[in-house]
Amino acid sequence: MQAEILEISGYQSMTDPDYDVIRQASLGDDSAFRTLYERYLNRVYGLLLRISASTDMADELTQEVFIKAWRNLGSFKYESKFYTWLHRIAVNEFLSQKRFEKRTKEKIINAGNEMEHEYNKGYNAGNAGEISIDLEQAIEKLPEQQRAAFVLHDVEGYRHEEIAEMMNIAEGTSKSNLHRARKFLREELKK
Amino acid sequence: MNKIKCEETEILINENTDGEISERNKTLLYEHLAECQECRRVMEEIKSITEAATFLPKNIAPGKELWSGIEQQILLEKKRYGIGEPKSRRKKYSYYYYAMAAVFVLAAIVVLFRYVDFKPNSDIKGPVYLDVGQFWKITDVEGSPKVESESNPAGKTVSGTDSMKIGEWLETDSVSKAVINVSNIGTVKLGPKSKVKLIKSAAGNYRIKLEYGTINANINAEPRNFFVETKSVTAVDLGCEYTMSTEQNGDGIVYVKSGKVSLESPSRETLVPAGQYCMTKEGIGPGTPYRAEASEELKRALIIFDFRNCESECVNKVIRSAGKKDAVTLINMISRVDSIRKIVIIDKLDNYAHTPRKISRDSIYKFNKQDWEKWSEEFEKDLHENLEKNLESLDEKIHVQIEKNMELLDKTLENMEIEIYKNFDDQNKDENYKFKFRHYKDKNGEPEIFEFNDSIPFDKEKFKKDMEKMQKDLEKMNKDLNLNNEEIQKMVDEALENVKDMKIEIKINKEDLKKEIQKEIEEHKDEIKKHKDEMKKETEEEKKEIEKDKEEIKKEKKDEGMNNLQQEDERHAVIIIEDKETKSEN
Repeated sequence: MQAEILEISGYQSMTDPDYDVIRQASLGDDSAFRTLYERYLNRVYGLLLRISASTDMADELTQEVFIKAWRNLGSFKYESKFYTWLHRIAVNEFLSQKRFEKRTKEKIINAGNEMEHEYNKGYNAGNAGEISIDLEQAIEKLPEQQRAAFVLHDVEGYRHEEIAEMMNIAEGTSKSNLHRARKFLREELKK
Repeated sequence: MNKIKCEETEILINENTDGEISERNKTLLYEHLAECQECRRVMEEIKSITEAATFLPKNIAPGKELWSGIEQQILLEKKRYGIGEPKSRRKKYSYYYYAMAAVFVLAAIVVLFRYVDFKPNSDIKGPVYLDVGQFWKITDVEGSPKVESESNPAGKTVSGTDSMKIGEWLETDSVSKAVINVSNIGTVKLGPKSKVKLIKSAAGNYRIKLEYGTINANINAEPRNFFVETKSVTAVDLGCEYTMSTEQNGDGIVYVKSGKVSLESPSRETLVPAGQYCMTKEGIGPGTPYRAEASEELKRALIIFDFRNCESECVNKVIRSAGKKDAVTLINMISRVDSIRKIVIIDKLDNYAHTPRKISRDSIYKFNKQDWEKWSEEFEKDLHENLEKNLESLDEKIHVQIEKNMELLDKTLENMEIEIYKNFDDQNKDENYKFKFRHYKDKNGEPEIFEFNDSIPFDKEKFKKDMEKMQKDLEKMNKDLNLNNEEIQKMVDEALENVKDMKIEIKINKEDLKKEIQKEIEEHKDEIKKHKDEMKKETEEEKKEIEKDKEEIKKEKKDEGMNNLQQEDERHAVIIIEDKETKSEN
């Protein structure tokens, strides 16, 4: 019963099969870490691909996430699901990358030169039906903050409180971004 | 029950979809939906999108293999930090390891002294680097940078300490970095996704080519000893530390942390001092230096001035956009504008510091390059001294900002010092309202409440416009506060959102309340002014306290801004309608 309660509340339960693997990995067991990587790679990549709308960036950031996870495994306190912890790292890496890009890219773009880095756009994230493909394509077109809010809330199921913490924004801002994202998607899907 | 409009409904639909709607608003929402087909359609669309989103696959496999990059980095870090080796094993081999290391070091010393020309330059202050002639050492390697050459274009991976020689490239990928020791005069840090080539290594001519990417050069030598070539400019070190980023086509940007750098191309030359950025463009060369904090307007105007066709109005725009702290930008423009604008710029600079008096204004346009450089140096020195000596000028920015904030706050407070109370009676469909409002006599005083005994008609549209204006004032205040801090921006966003959301809560359909309120404001203007004066006085006292600690100044400034916004948030217009019974009792 206690395990169920922990499960429902989002905790990484001690009866969770990953618990032992995580513990072993945090003690330096490479094969245990590899196991975690293989189990969570697609979940991390999926989030990064959607919020970045770029396969190149998603590839790069996924690697960064797992490297950071390896470094900081000792700090994972089982207070959330392991993939939630990885997602937090992922969102942080994404925001750091965007801040870095903004600092360097902004000045270069302002030079009037069309040398904006064009990451690969477009990807086939799933084959769950026509509306899904349309929705995926529409999500790609969302402005960055709105895209992040929509993916984290409506796709991944995080609460605004969690999103606000991940993205270091106010809860109200997260709600506002989500509402605008849904409005944009409504209009986009009508086209 | 008051009705809501469609634009207000969409927010409630979203809240309802997420299960975060209050009972009251839910009732309002469904009442509206019962009568509005368009909003029902919107609700269906949002529901459809959110449902479809939950079915999107959360697990997506990458298109390529990623583990090897991760594993490589892990192995590198393990090696570097000695992680993963059982202590007993480490201890077992430690003596052997140290012994081998000692032998190696001894051998290296013998080789170095016997075969290498060791010539520390006694004129150079700071650390002395071992000059190994044509080879530059590569150290502090992260990831897997490669040294490439014509004979080995695929390159060899650098690990530990390595070196590169003339004609060789050092290239990093997205997770790699390295430090190149530039003979005995300094270092060049190579960032990720970068490539440099060693072109020359001789006294007075240490030269590399930055093909693309980012370097940070820290050189401790006489001026004009170290050169970095790109497709657009050559950066000539004049004793400094700087960062340079460039694209493959030569477009790039330079930031000078200390000292000065000269950026040179066939048609232009720009001297970039510490604390300034400068863009470079292929085919043209360097632009004009500017501060990171320069206004967006100035930065945009400079792009046109530097790299596009810039007519006289364009030049005027740059001059207009430049402020006191942009003196370096203005100085660097002088040599590139016509005689008339030279004088205009000098006049403007005169307001900020004393332009060198020994030079007559009439002769300025005749200056040659050496005259300009000398003049610029003197002016910059004077400006720098002026800024440092004058304590007021250090706080001037804060003082001016506070003054501006107060003015903006006053205007906003005029609209917000009114609180309108209106008790809403769900049962009362008749909507006869009695209003009262309060304003504060003084900061610590009890509010003085003014009541209207008659039903006051209220102009909803006008009030809405006032609320929108208040919102714009908040936005303008934010802009004028020049708050680049992301955290504060988030707070402002939240405050604006809250104001916007609260507007939806207001359901008023009476007229002319505002007129009455304005009338009351006029009558109590003196008291309001007194209140403002007291707040200003308090601000002055606070300013004096701020001078004691610069760190606290920044924090308090931010806090003051945040507090102002929070105070405004708390004192937004809230409407309560008193019920009829209260009115009849009175």
